[in-house]
Amino acid sequence: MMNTFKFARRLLLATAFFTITSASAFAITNEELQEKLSLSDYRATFSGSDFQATIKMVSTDPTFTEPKVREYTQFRRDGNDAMVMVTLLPEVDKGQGKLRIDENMWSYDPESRNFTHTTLKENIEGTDVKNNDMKKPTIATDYTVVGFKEGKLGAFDVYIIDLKAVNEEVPYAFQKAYMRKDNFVLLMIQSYSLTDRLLRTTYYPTYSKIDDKYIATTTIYKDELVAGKQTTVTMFNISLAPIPDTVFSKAYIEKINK
Amino acid sequence: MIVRQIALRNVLRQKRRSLLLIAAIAFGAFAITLLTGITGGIEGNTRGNLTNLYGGHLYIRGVERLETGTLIQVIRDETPLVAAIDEAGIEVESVLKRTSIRGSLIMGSFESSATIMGVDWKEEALLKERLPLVSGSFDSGMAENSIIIPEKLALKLKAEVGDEILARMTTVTNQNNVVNFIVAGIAKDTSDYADAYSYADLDYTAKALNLQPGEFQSLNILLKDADSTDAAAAILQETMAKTLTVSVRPTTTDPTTSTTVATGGETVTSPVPATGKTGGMGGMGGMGGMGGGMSSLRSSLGTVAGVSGVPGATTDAAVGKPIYSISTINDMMKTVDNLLSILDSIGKAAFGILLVITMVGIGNTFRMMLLERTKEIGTMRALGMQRKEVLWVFLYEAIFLGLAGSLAGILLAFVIGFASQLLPMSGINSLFLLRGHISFVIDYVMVAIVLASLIALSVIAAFSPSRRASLLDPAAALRSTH
Repeated sequence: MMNTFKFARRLLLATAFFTITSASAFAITNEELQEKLSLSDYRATFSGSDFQATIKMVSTDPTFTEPKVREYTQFRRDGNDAMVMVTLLPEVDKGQGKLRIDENMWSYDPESRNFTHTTLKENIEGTDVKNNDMKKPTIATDYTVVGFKEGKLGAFDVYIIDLKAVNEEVPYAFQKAYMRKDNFVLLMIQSYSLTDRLLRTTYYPTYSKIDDKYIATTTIYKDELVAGKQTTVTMFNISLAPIPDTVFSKAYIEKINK
Repeated sequence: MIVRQIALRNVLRQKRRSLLLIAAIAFGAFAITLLTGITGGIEGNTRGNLTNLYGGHLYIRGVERLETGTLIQVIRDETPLVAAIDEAGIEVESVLKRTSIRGSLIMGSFESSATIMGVDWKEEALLKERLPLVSGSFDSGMAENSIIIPEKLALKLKAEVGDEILARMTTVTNQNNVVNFIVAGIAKDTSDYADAYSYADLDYTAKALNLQPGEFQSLNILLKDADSTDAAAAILQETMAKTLTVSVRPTTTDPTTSTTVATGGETVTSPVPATGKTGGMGGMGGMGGMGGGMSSLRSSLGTVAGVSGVPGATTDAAVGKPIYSISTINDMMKTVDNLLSILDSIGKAAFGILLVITMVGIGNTFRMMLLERTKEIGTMRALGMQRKEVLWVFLYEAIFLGLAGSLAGILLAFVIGFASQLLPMSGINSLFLLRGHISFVIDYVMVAIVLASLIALSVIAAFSPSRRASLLDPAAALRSTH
């Protein structure tokens, strides 16, 4: 009887030991999640090649009678942190261009033939998309993981990661990132204000995989303050072929308008 | 005496012709008097509205560089500024702290761009006086997050007193933020310009901009004598420069010219004033269809009143060491003054053309009169009238016509001008109006100039035919068949 009790106690201790050690062996830490965010940034950054795509933005707003559609050709050279966007639609804005080099951004108006300096934090014409959203992602450098929990988003097991901006100049003070546990792909980001109010939710429902890169081919930006206000961004005609250096210049935008 | 009587009789004898001449002269007098009266009213109203809106004539703003390199607009401690104001000895009516948020207000599905002025309600007696409320009140239940919104904005948002609304904005470092407000009052739209402005508690707006308690963005000084604005700004700037780093006000109208920074007697010049971050999201749009000039005004208003840019903030700003700049109501008025001076020049050019046409008309009429009265002149000369007296008969006629025409025109302008004050104006930016009405301000010097110049020009136009009349030979004149 005594031996049976001792055996049971040992078994219980052994089980507890294995449970704890195995759990700690598989548990993820804040630091590891920070690395996964860096991985996510890396996967959406095209440092070794150029990136070109056609981007369609469909915006809905309670004040619109019908959705507004905008279309752009985007050229990115993430290695130099450069980007050019040329408006294709609507017809009335055709030829308008945006040039970004590092933190500087200019808008070109073909009618006045003038470049105007603008900021990355401004929204793209009448949409819920910020200029900043069109550059290479820097979530891992802009935010620190301050906590996480596990959960489910639709059919996927996810880490729900609490992020805090590293300084006061990052557009959103706090974010919550929903990252798939199996492949560490971001599915959703909730952006909060300094007063901790949800401002915007960004959904990444579809991705395309090219080599080791993941491209969010559909992104939905939902304004959480104004009901019914959102913009859906879809990417197509994606190419990683080299783009001539001349494209990333003001002269190029001027030239295509001649 | 007899000469003036004959001249007056002649004017009255040909009533229709005299009336036509008087009408032509009156039209010129009317146009220029009305135009100067209205532009004077616009200038006065704009100055008054802006003074009320920004709570003063002088605006001190502080710019500070953060460790990240970003320039922000903030005044952390007003003590040295208040000491400088005292030391400068300028006569001050009030000194008010303000913050400014540009962003949008949201209620349900409705969103509208707005600028929220952060004010210290305890100190803003003048604002309360000049901001009549259609509902709610300043005193009952003014909580920390109370907001006074203009009527048009309330209509857009479908908001009523007691409703909770959200304000979306960016902090001084351009981070997205949102705070909630409770509508405590809805202000009457006495000014279209002010209707873009809502008013809320200073500390609450400072917190929304991510400033610390007690910090604000501009110190606005209401002077006892508005005419001393520029002199007061110069004295204050000199006094502040003794102990503080002060960005010297550009002397030219071009805000992109170099900015000099005075530091305790030293001056530093920075070639390009950097644009700092002051909070807000822009999106204010135009000012109600006033065109490019108004966009420019918007820009200068924003710049001077501390809504957007930070003129004078220099790349030399050191971390944690504020640079102060002083701007005045007159800086803001430059754009309005430019617009008005263009309007004034156009008016004066039109007046000049009208004068030339009228002079030609008067000259021709007097030539006709000379022909018609040749026999009469001969008779008067035969009866002993001197050449000089004949000349003066004609000249007095011109004086009477000029006097009657200009007086009629000026009086008509007064009637129309004052009557127009009674009509509510729509479609005109109310920055130019006083409580929704146009103002007509009489410029007595201008009236005197118009009166004198029209009489003088009538005399000049009539002089040549009058002289020819006076030189007529009496016998030849009597033989004349005219």
